[in-house]
Amino acid sequence: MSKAEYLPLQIECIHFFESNPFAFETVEGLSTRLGKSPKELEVVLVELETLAIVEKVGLGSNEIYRYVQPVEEVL
Amino acid sequence: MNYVTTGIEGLDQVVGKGLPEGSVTIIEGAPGTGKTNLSLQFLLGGIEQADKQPGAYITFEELPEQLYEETKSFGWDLRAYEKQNLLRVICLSPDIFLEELLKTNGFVTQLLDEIGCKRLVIDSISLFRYLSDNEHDYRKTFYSLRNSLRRKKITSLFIKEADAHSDQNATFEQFVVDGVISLKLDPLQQIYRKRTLEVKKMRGCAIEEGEHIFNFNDKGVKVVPALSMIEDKTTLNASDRFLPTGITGLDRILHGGIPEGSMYMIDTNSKANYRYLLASIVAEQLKKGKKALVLLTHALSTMDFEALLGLFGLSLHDLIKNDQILFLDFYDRIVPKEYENAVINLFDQTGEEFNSVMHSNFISLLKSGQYVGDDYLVTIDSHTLISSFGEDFVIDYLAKIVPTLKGFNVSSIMLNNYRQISERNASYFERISDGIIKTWVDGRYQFVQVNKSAQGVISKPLIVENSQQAPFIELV
Amino acid sequence: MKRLIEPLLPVYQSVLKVPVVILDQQANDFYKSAETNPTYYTETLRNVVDEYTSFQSVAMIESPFSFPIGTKYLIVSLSENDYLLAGPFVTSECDKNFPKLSDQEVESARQRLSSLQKILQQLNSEKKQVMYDILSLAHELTNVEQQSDILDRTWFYERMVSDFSDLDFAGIARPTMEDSFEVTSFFGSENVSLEGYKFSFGQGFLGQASISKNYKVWNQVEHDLRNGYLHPYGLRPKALFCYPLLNDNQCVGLVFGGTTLFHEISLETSFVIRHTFEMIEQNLTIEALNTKLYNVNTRLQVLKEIFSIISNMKDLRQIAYVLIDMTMVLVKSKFSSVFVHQQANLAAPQLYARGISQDLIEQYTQSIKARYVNGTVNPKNMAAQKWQTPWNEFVYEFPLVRNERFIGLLTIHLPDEQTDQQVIDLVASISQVGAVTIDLIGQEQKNAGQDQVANFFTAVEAFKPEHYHHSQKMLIHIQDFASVLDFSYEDITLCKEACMLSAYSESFLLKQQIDPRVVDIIVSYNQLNNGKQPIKKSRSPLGHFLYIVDYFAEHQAFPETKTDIQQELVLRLSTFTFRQTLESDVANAAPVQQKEQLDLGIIKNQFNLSKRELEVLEHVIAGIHNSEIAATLFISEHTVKNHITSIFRKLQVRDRSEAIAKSYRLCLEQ
Repeated sequence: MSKAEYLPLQIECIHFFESNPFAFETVEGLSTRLGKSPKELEVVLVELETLAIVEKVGLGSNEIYRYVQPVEEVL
Repeated sequence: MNYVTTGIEGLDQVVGKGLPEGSVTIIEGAPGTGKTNLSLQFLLGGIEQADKQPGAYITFEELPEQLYEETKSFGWDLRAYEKQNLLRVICLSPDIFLEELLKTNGFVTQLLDEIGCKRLVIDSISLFRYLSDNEHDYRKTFYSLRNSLRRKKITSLFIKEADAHSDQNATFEQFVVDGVISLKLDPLQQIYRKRTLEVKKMRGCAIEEGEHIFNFNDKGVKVVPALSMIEDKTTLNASDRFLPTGITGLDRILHGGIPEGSMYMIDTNSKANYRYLLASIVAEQLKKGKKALVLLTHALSTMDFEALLGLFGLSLHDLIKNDQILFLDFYDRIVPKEYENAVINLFDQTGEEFNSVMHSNFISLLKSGQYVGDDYLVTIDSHTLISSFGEDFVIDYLAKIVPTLKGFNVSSIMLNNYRQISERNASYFERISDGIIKTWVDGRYQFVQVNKSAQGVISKPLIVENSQQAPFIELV
Repeated sequence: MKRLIEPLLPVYQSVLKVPVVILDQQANDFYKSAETNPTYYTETLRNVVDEYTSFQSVAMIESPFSFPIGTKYLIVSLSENDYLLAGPFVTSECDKNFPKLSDQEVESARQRLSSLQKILQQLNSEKKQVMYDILSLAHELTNVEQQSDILDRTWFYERMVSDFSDLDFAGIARPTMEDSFEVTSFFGSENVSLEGYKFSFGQGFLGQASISKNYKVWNQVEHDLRNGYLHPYGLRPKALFCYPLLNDNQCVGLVFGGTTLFHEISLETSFVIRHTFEMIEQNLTIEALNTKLYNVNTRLQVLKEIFSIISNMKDLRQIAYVLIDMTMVLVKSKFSSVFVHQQANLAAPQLYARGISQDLIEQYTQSIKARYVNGTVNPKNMAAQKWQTPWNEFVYEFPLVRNERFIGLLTIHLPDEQTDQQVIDLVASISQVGAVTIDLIGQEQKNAGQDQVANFFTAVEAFKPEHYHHSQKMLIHIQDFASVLDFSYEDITLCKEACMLSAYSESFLLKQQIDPRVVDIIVSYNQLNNGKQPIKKSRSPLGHFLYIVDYFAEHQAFPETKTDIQQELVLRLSTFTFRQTLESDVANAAPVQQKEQLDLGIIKNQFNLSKRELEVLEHVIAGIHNSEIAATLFISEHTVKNHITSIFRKLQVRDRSEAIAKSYRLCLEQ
């Protein structure tokens, strides 16, 4: 279980990315969108990145996060 | 040069052949003018092409989820298109977008390549200006953006919020891009508003100048090119023959008027004034040299008709002399001597007698080929027939006469008042009519609405506005 | 001086659980721990000061002196003209506007205030400056939010050493993994560091303190053998103290300090250290408690949020994605998947997954199909279960079941062997909502379904997970038992519903639009469970039934019967269970004697039953209720009971079920 206090924020992030699968956000951008502190978001995003739910894209100074869609198998 | 369809009904006509491939067009307008929906429909237009042109929608402010939700009412499932790799609704900040698009193999480029993007919408370019420290840098960036898209052969729409004060930057952007389409929302009356679209510029296209009305129906955006165009096109195209009603708004809704050889019903309530509507339709045909068979009503005598047609610049005297008009009068009314030949009095006659008069004076002549159906417009007042011969007779009679008239390609107008006939017969009338134009009075306004039409168009209620010149009414 | 204590007042309030106020007789200076009504204190103080002149120790103010009437206060005089009041509080349930303290809490508050008084008395003595420092340290510590972190900072011990003139070293030892302790922070003179010093329980001074769990001060220990453990680190204390910090009776750290210069630690220092760390300890406990509560709350909140997200979705893929991502985050699993079985709106089964390679997906999907779709797993008994994948990893599989229909499977990878049962419960709840929502996609009753889901997630707060597990077990028995008792289909359904809903609170159920008969059953069932007789006795025999099933599910036996209804039910059921064991026992043996035709003559002879008693026993075995026996035999019910008691005595059994069982056994043995 991840640190419980971050759970609601994680859920919010997941819901955001899931609803906007082609959103590309920096921590600051997401902070504005969700109205949450960038500091907490950073922790959450790193966590989501380890779980491969989001990934970092782009080069250079900006760290941009995007959603990684789950794989789908039709039988 | 190749052109791509805009995917928006009517807009291709307005811009000529569609948008030049790889062109950049600014869609400008105040908030709520429909820029987003128009642009999205442009992308969907690409997707629905036979050769499937994938598109991307770049949004800087609005979230994709809002777009997904808002466009559901048009039956668009954007997420399904995304799944098929035909669409991307990409949301990111404008600085990252520019950086990544202009960079070699930036992720925005990768994204566009991934789906083989052919169409792009940027919502909106208004923010770009704030990214550059000075005007020079801004212009440079804007040029690069345009060139980059041109090179990629991506046909693009740039959404731009209309500034209250048009400044130099607006001029600069309009100069750089290939096209400018301006959207407006004009307040009209208090309840309705009119959306208009104007193509201010389109490189390599013969555009139709002026403002064109557009609106949203359940399938998205539809541009209605101004009426002047329709008339040109319809006269050119002989297969689509319409009888114009002479009322601009109504002809626009009906795509030019009442289709030849059809039966349209004008449904009124007792308060509504249908006289001008009817007179306009009849006058319009007579002006074209057609002929009319008019079954007079209790409220419209020969004299009334003379006056009405006079307002439309027609002389009944001349018309009768040219054998263009014939009246049937069911009431015992005085007819000027000079018109006597053109009026058949049916006062106190039975249905059978009416039938035989109709037959001998009209139907048999059609059958013998003396009359050409195409030339004729017949107007019938169901209420007058019913009060003269009874409802049963009229139903029977119409069941025979309407197919006959249609068979000879005679156009007809039937006046009707729902309240005066039984419910069963009302639905029968509805069935036999190819179109229904309903007009009624509600409060201090009279309304007109097309409830049924051979063209498949159904309109919302439009307000009738009086005007000083023919046809004396306008629909707004 | 008052100014000095002022910052500590909120701390005192949190510990004493009542507002704390300092004021003088004229109420000129007024310091308070929270928003309070000043009139209470000035009035109360005026009342008592008229009665008493001074308070030697902590005193309790009660009616008629306290204001408002009925409340109580603790009072202590701080100096000639200053008083500290803790209150108002009540000791009985008379007024809910004031905090209620137990006798124990009042007593501990009294002790704390008494210690405070002593400190303050010290303050008035010549050691003012020292005490000032000490108090400010205590204040600083108790005001820091994350005290547990502060305790690991070296500067904290440096501060202690500088504040207490008779200390020259201090530090903390924390428990390590191997049930021993290690000094993690230390401050002392140059060339001395105890950091890294490890010891086990009972070893040396500190080790002994860890066992006693009491604050200890050792004076004049220069030649004490226990010092030997510290010499290798260059430390030769002459006196030292150790304060074991306890949380939930577990030692979470040993704070220690001492002197290499003086033979003793002064009483004042010793006293203040004790006082300070008591405070810290209190706050640590509160902190820990809050975290725990917070966790529970958060989880509920999480659940609610997920529910509201999922229930608003109309797209299968989206729901699947959310299920996958949310559970991954919750369990920190590296692999999650949702399998959706073929449905009306879905042409083919689909698997959505994250964190697994393509070939394993295929492998896993085949496995799901083989086990769940083509049926080695019984869809009626689909609880979450652990499963080892062909590629040797453990996963938990949560079947998505609705109306006993398998509609899919939610799978999470288990990050390690120990998986929190709470988390599993949480995921199970999520999977249930997932099942409902997926099932309803594209169906006509989508709207109705959404209401169901909405209801469902408001139910979460009223949900007792442990009971839910139990009720799952009960369900199996209900089906069996109800058929034995020839329940109508309707009754069986009612019982099942009641059983499934019994994990929710009654108050919640009343608010829902649930069949009132079901609620009735649950109410009487809950009452029976709490050892009460249901009020509406006649209304719901099914409540009794549920109670018995519950007991049986738990103990594999029937409860001591209390009421006629239960007796009858147990009787009939035990006949059944007995019969069942019998059947399985002798299934392969000789043909079983017709059970209905027991030859009770044997029993009559062996136990010397009267003819009448035998008749009664026959009826009892037939599962006939007392009143019916009475009617059949033309005797009073009272007499029937007498006979039965007598039968039980003679057969040496306690209840009907045993009587029946014994009768069968004896007859069959013959």
